[in-house]
Amino acid sequence: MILQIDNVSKTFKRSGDNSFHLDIDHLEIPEGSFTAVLGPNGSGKSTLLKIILNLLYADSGNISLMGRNHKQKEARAKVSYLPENYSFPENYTVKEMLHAFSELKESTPGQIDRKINKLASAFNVNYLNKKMKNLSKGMSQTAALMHTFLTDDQFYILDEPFNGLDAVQKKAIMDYIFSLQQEHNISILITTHILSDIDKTCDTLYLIKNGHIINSASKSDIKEEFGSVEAYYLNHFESKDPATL
Amino acid sequence: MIRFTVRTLLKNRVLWAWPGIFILFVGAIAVWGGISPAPSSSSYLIELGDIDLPAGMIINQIVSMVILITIIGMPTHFAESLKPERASLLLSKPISRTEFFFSDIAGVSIIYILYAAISVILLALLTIVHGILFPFQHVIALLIFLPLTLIAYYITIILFIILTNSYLGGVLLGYFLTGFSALFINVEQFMKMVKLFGLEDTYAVTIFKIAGYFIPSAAAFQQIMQDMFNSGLSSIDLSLFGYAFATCLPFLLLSYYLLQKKQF
Repeated sequence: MILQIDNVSKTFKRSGDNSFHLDIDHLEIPEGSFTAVLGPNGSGKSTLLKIILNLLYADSGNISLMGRNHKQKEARAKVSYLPENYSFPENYTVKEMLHAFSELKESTPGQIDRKINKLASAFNVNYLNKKMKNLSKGMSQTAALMHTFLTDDQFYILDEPFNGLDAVQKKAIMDYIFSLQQEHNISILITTHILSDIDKTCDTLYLIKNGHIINSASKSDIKEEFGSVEAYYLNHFESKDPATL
Repeated sequence: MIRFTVRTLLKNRVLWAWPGIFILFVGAIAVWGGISPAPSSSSYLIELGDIDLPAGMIINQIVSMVILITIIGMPTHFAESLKPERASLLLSKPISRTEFFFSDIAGVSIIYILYAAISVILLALLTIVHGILFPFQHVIALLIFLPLTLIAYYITIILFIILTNSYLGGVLLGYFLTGFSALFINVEQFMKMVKLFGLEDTYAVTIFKIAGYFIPSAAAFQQIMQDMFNSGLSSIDLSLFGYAFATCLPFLLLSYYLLQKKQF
C-alpha cells in the first residue's frame, strides 16, 4: 500500500465557534492507482494532503506513507508534491529552478538535464531560460508541474494541478501522466474541483465535505450508477433544499 | 539543502554589496590613496591625502557597513523559505526540519566565509602591490570573527522571523536586540553610569546580567575583531570569546525548537 490513513483528526481553532475539524476514518491508496479527492472549497482537501506530508501535524491517528511512518523523511524519498499555492525563487530561470529543487533529491546535474529536456518536450515548454518572475500563470503552473515530475518517484500528490492551464496544455500533461503510469506503475493522488479533469482518468474517488469523507467509489461503480463523475459529485453536493443554498 | 541555500544566497544581489564595497575601497585607495608600513606594528597605514590612518581604523568602518548590509540582505531567503508556499515545496522533499534549519545556518556561514575570503584577497592584493605583507591578524579577524559577528546577528533575526512570520519584523527586532548586546560586555561600566542617575536596584542588576547570556553577543565578536585589527592576535580575550559563543546557544536552540513545532 502506497498510503494508508487511519483515524486521523486535526482541529483548527479559530475565534468564536468557527473551528474546523478534519476527521478521516480510513483512506488507502494502492500501488499504481489514480485516486481523486473531490470536495467544495474549504472542505479540507489541501489540509489532508499537508497532513500526509507532515507539513501540518495531525492531532491523532496513523498515516503510513510508502510503508513508513509519514513523519520520517525517508517516507518522502519517492514522493513528489505539487501544492496548490507555491512560491519558487523569482530571480531563477525555469531551468535553474528545476535544477535547484531536484538536487534536493540527490539527482545528479546530468540526469536532471536529460529529464528537463524530456519534460520540456512533453509539456511543450520553450521558456526554460526565462526568469520565473516573467512567466504567465499557465507557464508558471507548467513549470511547477515539471518540477513535480522531474524526479523519478513512485507517488505523486497533486493539489489542483491544472489551475490556469489551457485545454491543450492540460491534455499534454495528462498524456504524460498516463504514459508514466503505464511505464512505471506510479500512483497519483489528486485534488481538484474541475470534474472534467478526472472524469476519464481516476480509478477511485473520495468525496470530502466539512473535513469528513462522505463517500468513496470506484470509477466503474460511478459509471454504472451515475453515468459520470459530475453526476456522482452533484448527487452528493448539490443542495436540493433552496433554504440551504 | 546546503547547496540550495548557497545557490539562493549567491543570487541575492543585496549581498553582492559586500564584496562590492571592498572592491570600491581597494580601487579608490589604488587610484587616489596609498599604503605604507606602520612604524611600530606589523600592520600598515592607509594614506588618504596628507593623512596616514591605521588600517584597522578604516577597515573597522568598512566592516560596520558590511554588517549593516548583510543584516538587511541575508535573511530574505529564510523568510521566503518559511512561507507556507515555499516551505511546502522544500519540506515535502526528504528533508527534515532539523536538516532544513542547520543546513540554512551552514549555507549562510559558507557565504559569510566566502565573501570574507574575497575581502581578504582584495585587501591582500592592495598591500602586496605596495610591497607590504597583509597582516595575519587581519586575515583571522576577517575570515573568522566577521562571519561570527554576522552569525550572532543572524541567529537573533531568524528567531524573530519564526516568531513574527515577517522578514521586516525579524530584521528590525534582531538588529536592535543584538545591537543591545553591546551593553552586556561592559556591564560594570553600564551599571556605574546607571548609578550616576540615582538608579540602583540589585534585582535589576541581576536580571540585566542574566539577560546578557540570552542575547547573542555580536558585540563581543566585534570587540574581539576590533582588538585584533588594532593590537594583533595577542589581544584575543578568550573569556570574551567563550561568552560570545555561549550567548548564541539559547536563541539558536529556541529557534530550532520553534521550527520543529511550526506547521506549514
